[in-house]
Amino acid sequence: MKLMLHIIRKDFRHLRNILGTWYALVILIGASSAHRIRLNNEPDLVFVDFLFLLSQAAVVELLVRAAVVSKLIHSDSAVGSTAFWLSRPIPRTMLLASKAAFLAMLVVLPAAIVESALGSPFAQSPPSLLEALLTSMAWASIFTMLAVLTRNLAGMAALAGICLGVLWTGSIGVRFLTRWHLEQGGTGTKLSDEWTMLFLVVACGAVTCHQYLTRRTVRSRVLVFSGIPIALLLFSVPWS
Amino acid sequence: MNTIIETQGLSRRFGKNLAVTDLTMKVPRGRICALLGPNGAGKTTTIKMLMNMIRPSAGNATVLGTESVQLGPRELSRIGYVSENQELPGSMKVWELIDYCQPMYPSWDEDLCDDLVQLFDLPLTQKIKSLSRGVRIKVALLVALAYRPELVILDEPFSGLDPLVRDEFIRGLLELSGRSEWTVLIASHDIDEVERLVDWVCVIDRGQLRISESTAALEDRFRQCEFTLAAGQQLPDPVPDSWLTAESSGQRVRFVVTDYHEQTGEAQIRKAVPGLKEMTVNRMSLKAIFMSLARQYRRHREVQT
Repeated sequence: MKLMLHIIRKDFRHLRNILGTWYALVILIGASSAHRIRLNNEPDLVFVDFLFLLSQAAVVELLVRAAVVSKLIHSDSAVGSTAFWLSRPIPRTMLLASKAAFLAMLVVLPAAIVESALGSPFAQSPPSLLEALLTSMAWASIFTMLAVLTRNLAGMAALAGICLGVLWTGSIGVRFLTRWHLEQGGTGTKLSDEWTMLFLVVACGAVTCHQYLTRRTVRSRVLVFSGIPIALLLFSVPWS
Repeated sequence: MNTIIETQGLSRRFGKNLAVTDLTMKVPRGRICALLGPNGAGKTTTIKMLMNMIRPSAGNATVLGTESVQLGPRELSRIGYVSENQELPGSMKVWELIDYCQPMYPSWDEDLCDDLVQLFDLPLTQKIKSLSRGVRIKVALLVALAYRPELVILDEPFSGLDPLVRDEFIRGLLELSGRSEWTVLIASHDIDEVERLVDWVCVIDRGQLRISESTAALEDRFRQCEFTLAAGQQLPDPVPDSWLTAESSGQRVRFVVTDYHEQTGEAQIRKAVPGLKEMTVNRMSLKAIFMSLARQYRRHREVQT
């Protein structure tokens, strides 16, 4: 526990500037979203510009959030054999726990609290704390998984791009599968967004744990790429 | 022999390349051991397997009595590791890194840490990423020695350092070896620097161990010989196995003897080449021994291919 707090303190010292920037951005977007919800019934040209700016800011906020996660994870990289922590008496489980605790306390929770209190840029009303927590956890899990499988932010972006490519290609196949399923008289409904996000959290968390505990990067990446079609099938095809 | 590192048939494959092949090696406790070999010999791969940074493809290694793949915090708190490839946390200042490492080691010696800061003249308030390569290596050495590890593993520590920094580095190591009971394993191809430090030598080539013995024994049995053949006389064909890199220029012959005995060495050479003249036999430096071995290994490979 003492070691865990020690690592969290080290990470906080290392990330305080970018965290501060990100908090400011989250609060600004939250306040703007609250304002947007109030103005929603009076659309005019200024409102359209405001919406455009807000959506841009939301994208920037996500990118900064990814950068925060990247800095956190890549400072003690789980890939390769040159990271400083590998030669230090730090148990892998302890490192994983300290990173998870840092993310939970200083990334997931603040974002969820602000979003549930003030609103999000794209929703008509502020989500419940549980919904906001789930969304925030899903983003953090995706970013963390991408970070533990790469050495730096550029690598993380490249892997994200490849994953999106696989996802896009897979979604074309799933669309045909869905059409065939419906033509065969199949019925059913897609699983809800909450289930999708919960699946993302669990699946990305499992890959992250696997990588931290085994440091078998190739196997972890195979897990990711084999998980994408399964996720697509699970969440895009309407199941009865 | 009380060993601190022991490997048995250790091998590591990267795709089709065998970086380390069936390496069986022992490092005795309390020695300063050089792991010598040319670039690409497998030194770094061996060390990474010893440190459980990469897994062996076959075989096993024992470090401090524990299987290398089982090395955990308890063992790592007794090992100091410095490598040219190691990534130090660049965003930390030097004092922050010391502050970060200290609580991880119950045996951290603050006095020793202060002494090392002074000895290496470290700028405590500067960020590590702004330091030169030489100063970064000294910082790495500081946080690898301040807890008085039983085993210190240095992987190419001198690479890219200027002579002054090398000298400070070696002085630091020598000063500490006087104060501590430790074993040091230094992987290097920079033999000039290592020669001042080590008392045990392991030579690996193409991932295979060729020599493992004390520096004194090695220097005792290796000699550079030179003599002039009598007119019309030839070298024995084939030359004895223990003569390395035999080369001749006219009647003058030069080679390295690998099993020289002080009492009988000259007589044995004279027996093999009767009538030789003007024989000189000289002791060899570790560097000269290594160079002659490296040339011999290369010649063997060329013959095989």
